[in-house]
Amino acid sequence: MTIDPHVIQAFAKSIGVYQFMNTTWGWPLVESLHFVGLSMLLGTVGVFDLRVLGLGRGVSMATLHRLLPLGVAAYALSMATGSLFIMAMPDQYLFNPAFQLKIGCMIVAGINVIAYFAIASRRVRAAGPDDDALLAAKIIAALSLACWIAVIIFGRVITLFRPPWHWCFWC
Amino acid sequence: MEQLQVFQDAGFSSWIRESEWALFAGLIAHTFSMGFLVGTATVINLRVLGLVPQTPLPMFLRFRPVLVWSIAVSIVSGIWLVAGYPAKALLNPLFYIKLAILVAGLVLTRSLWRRASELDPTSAAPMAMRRQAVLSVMLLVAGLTSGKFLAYTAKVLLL
Repeated sequence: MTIDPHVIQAFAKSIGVYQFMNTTWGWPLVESLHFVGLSMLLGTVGVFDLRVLGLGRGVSMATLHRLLPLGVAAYALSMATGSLFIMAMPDQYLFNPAFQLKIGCMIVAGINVIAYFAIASRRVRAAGPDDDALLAAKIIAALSLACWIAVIIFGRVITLFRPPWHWCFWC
Repeated sequence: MEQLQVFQDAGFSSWIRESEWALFAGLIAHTFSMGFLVGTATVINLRVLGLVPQTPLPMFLRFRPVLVWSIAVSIVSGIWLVAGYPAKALLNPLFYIKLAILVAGLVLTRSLWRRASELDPTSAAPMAMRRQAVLSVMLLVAGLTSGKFLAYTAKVLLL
């Protein structure tokens, strides 16, 4: 399957995204919002992961669960703003190995969330404020943190692999 | 300006610019630490505003070490990045605005948490503290945003 960047860019032009992103402040504004979303994700999911790993004992994991809607909102903000970058400059992202790895880590993080709810969520929520999380939950939390750290790293190095000095997995 | 030129031409500054990894390592460390710094501080400030009221506020303050480490890494990586392109940052007024906003946000957050740790764990934060929490969040997000705008407002890259 191939994705044609021209089709994506034509769509972006038809709905005004391309024009907006090419205004003086369009790109930095969206970039700022993207980073605010990422920060909130670290502040919610990251804090929850750290608690499961043993930091901040005394804070109930069930309570931190209630931060997850905020984490989901942060994720949605990051996804929405991130998609504006791709629509405005698809060839700079789709064929970029750093971007591909970033998306790969996001997929692993998503599967990890499903694994968390399937395996560990109930027991984590039942744990007391000073309790230790079960090993499976700790592994999931460590993987989650690792994924988000990797997402930040690969997001940062996207500019290092800008075309034409690029390669991709499917080209 | 002369001193800036001397610093820019010095070995360490040149190495950061010319190395294949040094600048990106600094950028990654700064992004990660700033993300954790603003994210964690914002979540604790949102707790002051009444989010997840089931957990006593002082308990949330146990995440303070995350913040302390984030501040430390942000400062070191920030100096690293400025060392690579000193003129780009130091000749941009927005750089000083960013620093001032972040320092104000962190000072406000620190004073807020100090007051929060003295609160009765079961009681809600008073209105004055809530206002302070809103202002802290706004300042931290503004600091983050102004950092992103630095790259787009710099008029000088190298001297």
